[in-house]
Amino acid sequence: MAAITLQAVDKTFGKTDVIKQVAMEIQDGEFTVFVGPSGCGKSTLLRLIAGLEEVTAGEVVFDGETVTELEPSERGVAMVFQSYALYPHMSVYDNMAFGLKLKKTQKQAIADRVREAARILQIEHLLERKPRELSGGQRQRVAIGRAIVRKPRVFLFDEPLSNLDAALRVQMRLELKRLHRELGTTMIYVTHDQVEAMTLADRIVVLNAGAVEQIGAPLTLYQQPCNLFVAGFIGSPKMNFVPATVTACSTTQVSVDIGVGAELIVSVAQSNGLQSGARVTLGVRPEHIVGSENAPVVDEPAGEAARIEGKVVAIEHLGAEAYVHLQLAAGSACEEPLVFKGSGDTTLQVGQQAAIFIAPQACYLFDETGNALPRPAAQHKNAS
Amino acid sequence: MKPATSHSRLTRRRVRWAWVFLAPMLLVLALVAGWPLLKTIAYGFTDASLINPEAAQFVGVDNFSFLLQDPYWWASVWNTVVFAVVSVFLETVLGLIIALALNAQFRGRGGLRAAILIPWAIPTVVSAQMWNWMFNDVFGVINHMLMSVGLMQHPIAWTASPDTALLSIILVDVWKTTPFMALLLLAGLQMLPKECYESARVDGVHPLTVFFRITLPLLKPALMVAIIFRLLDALRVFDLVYVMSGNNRDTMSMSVYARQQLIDFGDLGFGSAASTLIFAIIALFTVVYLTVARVGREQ
Repeated sequence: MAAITLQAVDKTFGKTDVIKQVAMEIQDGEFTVFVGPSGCGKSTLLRLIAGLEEVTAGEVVFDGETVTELEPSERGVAMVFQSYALYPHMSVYDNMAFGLKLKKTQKQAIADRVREAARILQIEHLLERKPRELSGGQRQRVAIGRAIVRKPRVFLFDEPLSNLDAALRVQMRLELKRLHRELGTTMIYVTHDQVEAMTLADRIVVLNAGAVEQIGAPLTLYQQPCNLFVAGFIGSPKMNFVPATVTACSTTQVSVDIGVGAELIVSVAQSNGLQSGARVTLGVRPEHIVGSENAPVVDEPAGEAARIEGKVVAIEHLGAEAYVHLQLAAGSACEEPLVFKGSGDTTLQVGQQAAIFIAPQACYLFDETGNALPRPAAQHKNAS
Repeated sequence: MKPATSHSRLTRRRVRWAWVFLAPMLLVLALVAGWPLLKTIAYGFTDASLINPEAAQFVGVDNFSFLLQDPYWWASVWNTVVFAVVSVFLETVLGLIIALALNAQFRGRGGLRAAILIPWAIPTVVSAQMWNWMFNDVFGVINHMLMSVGLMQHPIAWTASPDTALLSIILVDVWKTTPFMALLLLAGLQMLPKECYESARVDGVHPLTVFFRITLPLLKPALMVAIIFRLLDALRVFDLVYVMSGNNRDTMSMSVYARQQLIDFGDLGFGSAASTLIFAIIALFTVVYLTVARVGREQ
């Protein structure tokens, strides 16, 4: 078990800066998820922690001990790879026992540890099989088992579930969570899937282009994203962004015009000296927009909600809910259709006109540089 | 199987077309491989001479029984087997070492990979003659070098002396064919999953252990193919032996023996019998090897 600190870590491959000045602290026993789009450097960062790659500058520290120059095996890490990386010519048992055998661990001790790991992962009946005789999910369990028997200080997972089908991924996600509870070991997990990040993590590290965008608990990132990137990346479907102009501004209230005759008064914790006339971006999550079909005009939300009309251009039916894409009327600053969550039995049809209501307490505001204006604490509850 | 009628009709049509597409190749093979092979086997049972093959008389297994009693034939079989086993063994070991080196990341790797193929690209007759001169007892550079560093007192007639002739030929073959082996094995190495090695690094496995416990087992299929390839080649060896030491009894391979009977002595029947036996021996080798390989794989 280990607390891990990265100090101003840089990594360059040739002329490409892959990791730029990344600094963070991971608590002992924490489940941390690195998330970001492909090519953002999240796997490289994991490999730097593992010791599979050398840092160009900066330090990697485990429990106060600098391990920057140490080999992966000396750091006491265990890694689970996306492709499982099982030795194809060895049985499941031998795959799991290989590392221990080489360390000259006693035979009985090896057997005990392998059996124990197999029990936790429910793969006891597979121990004699070869990896090629296993399904993807079973292989992934073996790969995790191989990591468990080593009793590492930290588990590193590199997109371990991406090769599994959707149902299996949900199941494995729960099992990983359970495993973390049972073992209590520090775990670092890399994924491009924000749902995986939200469900697994104690803390999420959002990476973009080799730099940390934001670090925080899943709900913090959802409720208080620090900029447009994080706001767009966390949450599914992604947040709607609408260009807007500030019409009036106090320390805690910002009035914005979103260009279709609708004006909103958004509360903020700190307006950061925003001026009237400044260009901002209004963010609103699909699940916070109220559509007219599930909120008849009579039940129109309190007066301050902005009413916007548009044409339905697409509907994604998911059964329990439907995501409706609404193209705003010509002249609006918003060229992308707005997406909102409607009820599963919505009667809306493609081509129809529809109205939506945006409540100010559900809104996020971003200044011209893309940084978020802090939201007042009370809004989190209303928004979620 | 009644309900499957339409399905089986489709299958029948596919099979028919498969035969149509295969036919040209089968025809060509029959003409250029099948017919000469059958003809050679047939000549082996006659007393045909090279000058007048039409006047051949059937002599039963006389050629074969004489062949099996001929000590020179057995000497050539022994030479060939020693040559094949020793040269393929050395080529495999050296080829594997070179392949592992070339598989590492370093500058100029592409150029080196191309350069290493040069010995393989030179025609055997040319390289055999080149080495012949280097091995020459009077002018050869090898004697000169070994004597100037004091390893030898007197020049050795490398390719003529019975003690060293076969050794020289094996050395030249190793020089020539190791690059080919290295390239075959390099292709195999590049197919191995990278993550297995990273996993081994995380486990802190010693590089030698990685080689024997991970690389070698994973490379085994490629290794087996490369070895059988080279073994069959080596068992038929002719040009290298013939250029370097002609019809010398101490180094004569099976193929050189057959050629001498067939061309120099003009004994088409006896030479054909020898060729047939070479064919049988190589076929036997292949069957035994493949059986062993399969048994190994099933375990």
